[in-house]
Amino acid sequence: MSLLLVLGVIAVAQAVFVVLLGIFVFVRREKLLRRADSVRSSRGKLSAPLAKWLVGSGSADPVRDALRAMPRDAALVFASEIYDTRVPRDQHASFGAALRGEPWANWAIKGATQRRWWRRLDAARALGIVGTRDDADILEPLLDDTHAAVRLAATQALAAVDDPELVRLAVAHYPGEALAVRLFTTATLRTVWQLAEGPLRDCLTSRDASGREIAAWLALAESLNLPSLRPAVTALASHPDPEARAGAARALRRYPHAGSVEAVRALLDDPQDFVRAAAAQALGALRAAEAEPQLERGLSDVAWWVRFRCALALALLGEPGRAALRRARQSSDTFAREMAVMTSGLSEGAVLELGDV
Amino acid sequence: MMEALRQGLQALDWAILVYFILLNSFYALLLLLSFPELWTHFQLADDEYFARVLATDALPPISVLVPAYNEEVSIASSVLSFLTLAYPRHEVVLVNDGSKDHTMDELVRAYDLYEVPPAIERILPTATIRAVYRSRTHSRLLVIDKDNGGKADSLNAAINAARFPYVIACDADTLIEPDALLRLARPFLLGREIAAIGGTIRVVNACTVELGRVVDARVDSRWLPGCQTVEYLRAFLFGRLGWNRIGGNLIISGAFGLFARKYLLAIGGYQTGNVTEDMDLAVRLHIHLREQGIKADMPFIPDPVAWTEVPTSSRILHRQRERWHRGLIGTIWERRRMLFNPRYGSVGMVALPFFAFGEMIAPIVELLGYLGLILGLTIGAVNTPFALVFLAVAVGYGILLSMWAIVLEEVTFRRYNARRDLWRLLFFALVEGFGYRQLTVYYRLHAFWKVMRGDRGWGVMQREGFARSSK
Repeated sequence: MSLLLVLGVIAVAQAVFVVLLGIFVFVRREKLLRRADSVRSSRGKLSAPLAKWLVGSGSADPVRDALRAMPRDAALVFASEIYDTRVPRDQHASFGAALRGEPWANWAIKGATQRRWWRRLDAARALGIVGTRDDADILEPLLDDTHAAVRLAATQALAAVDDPELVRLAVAHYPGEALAVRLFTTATLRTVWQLAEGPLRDCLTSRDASGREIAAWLALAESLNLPSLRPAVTALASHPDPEARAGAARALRRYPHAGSVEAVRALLDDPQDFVRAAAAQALGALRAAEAEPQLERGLSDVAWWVRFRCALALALLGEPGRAALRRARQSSDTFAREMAVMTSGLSEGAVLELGDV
Repeated sequence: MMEALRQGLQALDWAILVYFILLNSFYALLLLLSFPELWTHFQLADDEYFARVLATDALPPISVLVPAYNEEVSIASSVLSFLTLAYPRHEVVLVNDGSKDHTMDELVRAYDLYEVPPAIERILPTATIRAVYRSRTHSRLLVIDKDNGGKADSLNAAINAARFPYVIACDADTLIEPDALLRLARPFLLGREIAAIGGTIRVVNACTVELGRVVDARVDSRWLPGCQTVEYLRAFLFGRLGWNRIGGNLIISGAFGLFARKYLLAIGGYQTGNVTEDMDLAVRLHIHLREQGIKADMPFIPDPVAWTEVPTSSRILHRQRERWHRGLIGTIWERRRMLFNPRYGSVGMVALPFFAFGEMIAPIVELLGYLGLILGLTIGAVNTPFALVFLAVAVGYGILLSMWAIVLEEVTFRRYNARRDLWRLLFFALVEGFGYRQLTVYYRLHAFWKVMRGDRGWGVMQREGFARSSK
């Protein structure tokens, strides 16, 4: 076959392909429009029973029937949306019970072992709605999935599955996750705090954990804010690793207590600047007026962040702190003066926002 | 003599044919690689569940860096659109780059600015900072007023002042979609270590803009912006997605890209002497990551969108494309030691060679092709049917790639809702190869001429503004 013929065949094939692609684009557009109409209509049928269920005056059965009439993937999306609404926990539980065994839910859960990650994601999402303690075996590998999106959804399913061992597993894995994933896991563990409390206390008092792991668990303790964890958190303010000490300072700002203030004040003299900055921030959040002289001294710290945090903390202490800032504005120390000028111009809202309180 | 010329032309024909096959095979490979990549992003981008996850506080705080020069007309609304982006925690660091108009006065008036001590660490060298301002009404706004030093210098000043670990470099006249930051931050939720993330740039020219937001995406019916709309779709939807799989994304758009601040500081920020600072920055980031053995990704994500105005006149398009190509030539020349150097992995072995031999010298090869064809037809050294069929295949392949880009857009994000816009996209995909392509070849050839003359200027990029399309 000559080169000319080959090129000719390629040219014709390209032309045919271009025409087919053009047809495909328009056919697909029409199909999508029709599907969107159908889903819109199903959603319309869902709204009345859903409204009744949301105010607690109707059962979940009509909602279930409306979901059953939808395409499987759309039903899962709507069920997830409904499940995310703010209703009492027992209402959530009854909703999950009503949907258990639905064809779309079974189809989704079957995807837990699929190779394609989005099928496993659907499985984790379905377990978050209809899961029970019997599903712990299905959920466990999803908590350790290779895809972070699946792990996130599986973490959310912990509340529905309510299994102490799985929560322990999630707490143990917590420091190994990326920061953003950890933050989301935190939000989920808040809903099962009774189950998370014990494992977290064990982790905080572990002797084998590294400073970085301790710091991660301290961040979790800060967010869960459980009074029973305060002694363990306070003890970590004297940990040999500076990351752990900084983590303790940050966590203690959520534990207003004389013991917390005392531990954090000691950290204001820490050799590491990031620990001192975290301590200053915590003292501001704790409104620790007794720390005012130390914070005023901190305005002359060698590290910019420590001076900044001390100034913001003083601004949060009310009149004693404001008076200290006014004195600093007249100070001969350039560092203290500049920082006082900068924070004195801020509104209360800005101080709160910049101070991350 | 004539016989030697004839043989020379035939050799040239074969060389161009081989070049054509190699280059287009690589484009086909990029296209194939973009399918799984696009599908993965599509699964997450349109997932309402994941959108709700993104709306939690599980995302790192971001500093939005906005260099501004002579933007008095639009600066107040631009800043407001950046401040009101849907993101749990972000600040806006605006740098007034010694504007000669009333940009600074307008900012002071609109945001009730007050001067604060310039307590900013000068990690990256910049032009002299005149003053630093905070806003009494928007605590998340920081304004730096400095001497004129160019866009790269302004971005360096903003990087110095940013207080968050990730920064986004934006142009003051770029319209970022309200949820674009959330979408751009998706890799963080997936637990990846990130050095930079690129988002998609789309053409705003015919769109309806209300209060700094694109409310109705349209395709411009005019030839130049219409062709550029298809060109942008092609470049972003399969070009850069394909590179994601190869690991050699060399362009994070200067108008809309997210970077880890620590890596920007480590490489010394933006280079002030470069006319296309974005490619240069991406290449230097790759070098840094490789040389330091840091395993951090630089992905491109297709669904976060920023809208930008493209040139509507050939004069402005000429300046823009000539400058872009000059930047490409400069970057490749400066980094030539990386070419085929296994030390730099896929960047040195695949991406940079592709940009050097595929993108950079393509206009020269194309010019040689046209000249050889004309000369060959004149002296009868070229088989006319063969030349015509070859031309048809070359143009047809370009159309096919553009069609694929439109298909990818249609099966995934579908920003253009009206059927009329779909027709326009298809029309411009068909006509782009006749005239527009040759025009851009000429502009890029001009870049070689300017490089040889040592021209390093930016030229003026005049814009029509959004007034025509705005309500």
